[in-house]
Amino acid sequence: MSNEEGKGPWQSIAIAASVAIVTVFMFALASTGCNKRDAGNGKEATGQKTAAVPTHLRFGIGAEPKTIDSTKCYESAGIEVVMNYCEPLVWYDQATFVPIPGAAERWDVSPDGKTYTFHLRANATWWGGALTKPEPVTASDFVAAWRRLLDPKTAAQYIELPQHMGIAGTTQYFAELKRIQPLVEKLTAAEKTGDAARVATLEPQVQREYAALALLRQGLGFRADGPNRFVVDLEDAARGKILMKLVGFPILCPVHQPTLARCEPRDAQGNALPRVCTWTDPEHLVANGPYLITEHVLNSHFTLERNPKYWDAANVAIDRATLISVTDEVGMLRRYESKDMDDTIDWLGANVPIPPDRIDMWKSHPDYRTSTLYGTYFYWFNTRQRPLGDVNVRRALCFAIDRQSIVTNVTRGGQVPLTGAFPPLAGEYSPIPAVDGFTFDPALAQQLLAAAGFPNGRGFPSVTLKYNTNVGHKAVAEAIQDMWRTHLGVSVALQNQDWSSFVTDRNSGNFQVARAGWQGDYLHTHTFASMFPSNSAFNDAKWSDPSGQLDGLVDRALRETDPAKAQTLYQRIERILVAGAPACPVYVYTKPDLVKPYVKGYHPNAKNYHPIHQLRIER
Amino acid sequence: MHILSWLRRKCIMLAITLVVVTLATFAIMKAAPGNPYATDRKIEPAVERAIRKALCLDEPWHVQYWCYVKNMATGEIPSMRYEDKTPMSVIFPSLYDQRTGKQRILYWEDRTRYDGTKVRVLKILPDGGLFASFVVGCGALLFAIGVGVTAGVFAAKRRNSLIDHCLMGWAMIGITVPNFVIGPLLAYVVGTRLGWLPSSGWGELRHLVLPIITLGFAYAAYFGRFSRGGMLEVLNEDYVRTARAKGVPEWRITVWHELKLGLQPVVTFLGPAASGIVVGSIVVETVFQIPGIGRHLVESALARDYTLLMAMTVLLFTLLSVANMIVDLSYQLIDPRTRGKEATS
Amino acid sequence: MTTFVRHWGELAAAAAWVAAWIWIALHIHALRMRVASGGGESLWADAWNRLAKNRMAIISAWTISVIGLACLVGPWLLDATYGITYFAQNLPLGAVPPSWSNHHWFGTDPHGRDVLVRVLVGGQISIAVGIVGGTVAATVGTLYGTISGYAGGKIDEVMMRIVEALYALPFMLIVIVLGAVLGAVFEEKQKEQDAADAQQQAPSAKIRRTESGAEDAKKQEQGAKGSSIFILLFVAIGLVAWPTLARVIRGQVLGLKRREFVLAAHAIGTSPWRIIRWHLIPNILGIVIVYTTLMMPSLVLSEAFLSYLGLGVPAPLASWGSLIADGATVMDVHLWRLAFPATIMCVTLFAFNFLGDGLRDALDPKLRGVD
Repeated sequence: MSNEEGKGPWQSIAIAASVAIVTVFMFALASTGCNKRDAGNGKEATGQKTAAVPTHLRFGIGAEPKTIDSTKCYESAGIEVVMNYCEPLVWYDQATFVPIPGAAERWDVSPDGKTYTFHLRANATWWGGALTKPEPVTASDFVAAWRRLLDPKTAAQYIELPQHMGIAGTTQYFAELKRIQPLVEKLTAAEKTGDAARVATLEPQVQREYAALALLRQGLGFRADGPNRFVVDLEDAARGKILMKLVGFPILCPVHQPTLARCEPRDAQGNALPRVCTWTDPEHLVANGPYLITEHVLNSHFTLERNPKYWDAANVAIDRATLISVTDEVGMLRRYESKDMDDTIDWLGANVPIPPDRIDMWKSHPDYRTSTLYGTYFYWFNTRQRPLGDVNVRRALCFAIDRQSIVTNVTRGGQVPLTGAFPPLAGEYSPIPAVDGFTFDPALAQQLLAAAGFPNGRGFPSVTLKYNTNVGHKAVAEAIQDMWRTHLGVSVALQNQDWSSFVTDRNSGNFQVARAGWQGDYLHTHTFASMFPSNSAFNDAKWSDPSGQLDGLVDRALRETDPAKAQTLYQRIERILVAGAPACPVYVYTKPDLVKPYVKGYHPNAKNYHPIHQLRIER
Repeated sequence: MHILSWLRRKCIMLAITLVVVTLATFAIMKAAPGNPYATDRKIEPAVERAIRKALCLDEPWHVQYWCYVKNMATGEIPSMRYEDKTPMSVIFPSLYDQRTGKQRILYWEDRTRYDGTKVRVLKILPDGGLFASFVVGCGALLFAIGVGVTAGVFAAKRRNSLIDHCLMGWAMIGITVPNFVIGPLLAYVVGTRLGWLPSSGWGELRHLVLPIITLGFAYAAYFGRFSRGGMLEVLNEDYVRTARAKGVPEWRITVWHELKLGLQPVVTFLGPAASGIVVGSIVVETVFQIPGIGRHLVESALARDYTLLMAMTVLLFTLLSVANMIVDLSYQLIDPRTRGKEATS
Repeated sequence: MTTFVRHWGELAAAAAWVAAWIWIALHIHALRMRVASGGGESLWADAWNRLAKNRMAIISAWTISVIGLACLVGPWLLDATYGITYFAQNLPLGAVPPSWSNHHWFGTDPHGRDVLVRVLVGGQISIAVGIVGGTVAATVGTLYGTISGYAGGKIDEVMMRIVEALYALPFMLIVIVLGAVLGAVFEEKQKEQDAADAQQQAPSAKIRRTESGAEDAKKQEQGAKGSSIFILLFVAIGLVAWPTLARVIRGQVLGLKRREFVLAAHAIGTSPWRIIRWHLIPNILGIVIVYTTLMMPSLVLSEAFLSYLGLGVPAPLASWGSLIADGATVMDVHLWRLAFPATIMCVTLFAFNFLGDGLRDALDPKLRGVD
């Protein structure tokens, strides 16, 4: 920009004036909130109301899922999609989680409680994709899907689910899997270095082991007893409760075998060959559930339409649903508020969070609903790194956190502070009283730190707290960093990483303090207790109970049929965890949600479980 | 003849640099820790082996490299971030509906709103992917050139008037305010508050307006400044004054004499502008929820999605090199003085 | 007293900053005196003279110096008078709008931290990005361009091809990946250091116990600033910006190469390095300064973009970019979190732009309109 001498000040005045005018204009507009014109577009036909206007539900599901293959699915966004196109053995009531007949119209339990027989309904059918007429859903479809889940070559993340349910033979199966692990690793190492001779020796061995595994899979505790009876045998009767709570999980849905075989062929040894097609694509998907996928725009949305051949199609109230992939939560909130009929959404979505900054604005809104989830937010301590190997240091850090303040001022979502280790489960488990857990006690914390040899934080080595890049995690981490600094004199550095690096580091023990969140896979305390035994794969702290009791207690509590005794056992475990402090609990997750008043049938629940066919739209 | 040999040389250069760039990207990606399938829970070693085998992760590095390059054509390995899609189908979505066989480039869609009114909506490239990014990017570039050059020429002609200062003031705002501020501001004011345009979404013409303005605003500012500067250079040249004295109409002077040479700095900036628009599309696609490929630039690196990253790098580099080649070519064509000489910059 | 200790780094930098600006002002003044009294008119004197008459450039220079000083001295002042620091949280006072009474003139962020002091500290970082990045880019670009231009022939061709390749690539890919890799590399170094520290525990523990006061302060800084990965990030941003400069310098050198004084020096057998150092570089220094100043706003904006992606400075530090990125998401509810950082950043970047324009006009009026 060239400059004439002496005209300088005029230039800046002109610039300032134009900027000021525009800013004022924008503020004026923003604050008056002019009338929103209904943005109609295109040509409008005469606005005649037709008798049956199709109902359309639009909501967000979270970030674009990695996959919507029902067996391989892992993320909650993907599960939202899967739970609507496939029908598992049972559905659940949103409020009480009592099982409702789904693909199974009834089920019986044997007297010893170890055998469950599911009677599949005769009119359940497969429809969609290339099918010209509907095919019946049979028990072998379930068997094949569950075997596919257990097959390591499918690479399903939830492979251990059948073991959680206690299906007969799974303990042995997973023990076998573990046994061949060193062999597999040797083969992998040989392949990496290109050692052809070693590969030639090891490969057939590994193939034999996999073949043996396949044989084992055939003999596990689930089978088809005729086309309409699916029988499950358990290892012990107490697991029956977990079975009934898990069997409605979308991962355990049946899969249409001919379509799967066509799209993902396997060779004689069961190795996956290059994919021919993706069986979940709209043009191939054959499903047994209330909805079919008609459109999938990557990173935008899924369109689901009512499956006309679903056995209960008459009772499915919503004709069409648009499931939106969310990249910007504030953007979703804007759409929720929008008065434009074409852009607005009807339900924010079970997996779409409201940023903490804005929760206060929405709390008093009639659309606001909140569910207390069955999940915890906590920080792992790596007990193999000094100074965190000292239990006094860990306990000191845990007592110095003001959880109420975090929940009230930072996360603001009505989360429940967690002082023990396990969240409450209505009607099943009450945790230890809050005073017995990690209360906010700076005096005690300072005592403990002094006992560990760092009075007032003097001499405390540098410690880094890691979290994955996210505004919410950053806020909590900053608050905790400040609390430790103020109450203990301990300086902790914060480091954020992208998800992939973060999880790799946490899994490999490359951290000192790391943020963690755990959503219960099923509504039973074992899903949390299973993290802490010394041989658990999830024990990121690499901690073991000094008194050696914990591992045994966890096992006993799982097999205990008497609920009162189980409660006592789990409380004992909690007290051990508070004494040993491998992790620092912060709060129990809640999920604020926004649901428009004309959406009926929505009940807040601990699992974010809201299948579309249980909802209705009544304007 | 000269042009053809120059073109041939450029293409060879492109091929060589493509190989070098993909090798370098691959090397850097492998050096970074982490893997594409990391999750909260530990994975069974057998499961992990299956995944790694399918993704070519345990081969020697040159085999891996070739595996991913080959995959761009064959699509055997799915993208690691989007397991149901191949990298090429992520970047180039299918342009016709596989179920019904209808095209999905430009078509009318009938919609019934909940109150019973029927509307016909014009959908444009609703499947997103490269096409969405391309449309928004080109639109932004055209907006930037159109608005920027017009403003710059206008300002140059009325040098040091109030209009000149106001326009250059706006240009300064465009250059200093980041697009991740302008985007949400427009989305909030025009979208949520005024309701004139949708605050986010994709698929119809009205979804194009705000993203194009957000993305193009900064570059309109740059083009405005440069064209004004370039125009000022030539405004007082002798040949222009001669033409005016000869009685050539004013608009002809502007277009034929002044613009051709005054726009040289604009043409020089086209390369960096295109590059900047590609980077800026990351922000715009996030703010306005557009299913384009901008996010893959960042996400595939963060998610260690080697297959998609390889495809994105090759695609991006080719596009930008071709764009730069076009710019160089037009440079030589526009200015006869540079024809026949090696470009000095 | 402790506030002095806590902020000694900033205050030292402020002193250096003021000294630098005073030196520049005195220098210009002396040159103007010499010109006015009819003394020798060197190229530099002429240039400074033109610059001094450019009112916008002078105002911009003043603005930059004042903002820089405020950023360096402000946090100490706020700490000493009101005890406000950029990292101390005050959760009950989270996200309150600006008010006169509680001394939060720019309001607070959701953690209860004062926005004004965070803007000032953010300014330190953002301006540092501009200066460090600019210096890195200038150094690398000048060397590269001069060597390429002077060498000519095949070397020049190859070097320019490399620059073209880099010019076309969006820099985002490179910086993100660099960020991830550097982060990993840095962690390895950190772990080695911790392991070494652990081994030498006895002697270092003794040292720790004697330096209690200063050590406490230093620990606070250390804890707050985390790893110094962000210095590496500044360098990375600068390294990605050098191709433009290299191309321009090369053009200039190609022109200078054929001038008589260079040919003469070559004829008498001066080594290429001496020619580059003593004849070429002094003549292109002006252009280097101009383009570096003009490049600084884009460096600051690059850092802002990285902060938007979550790859910028670590918490609880802030830069203008991270403040603006956070504020942009809440502009409809907490406008002050966006308005103040954005305004100050814009004013500073305006000033850099005007100053750069003024320098360009002053050093070579023929450069006007060319970029």
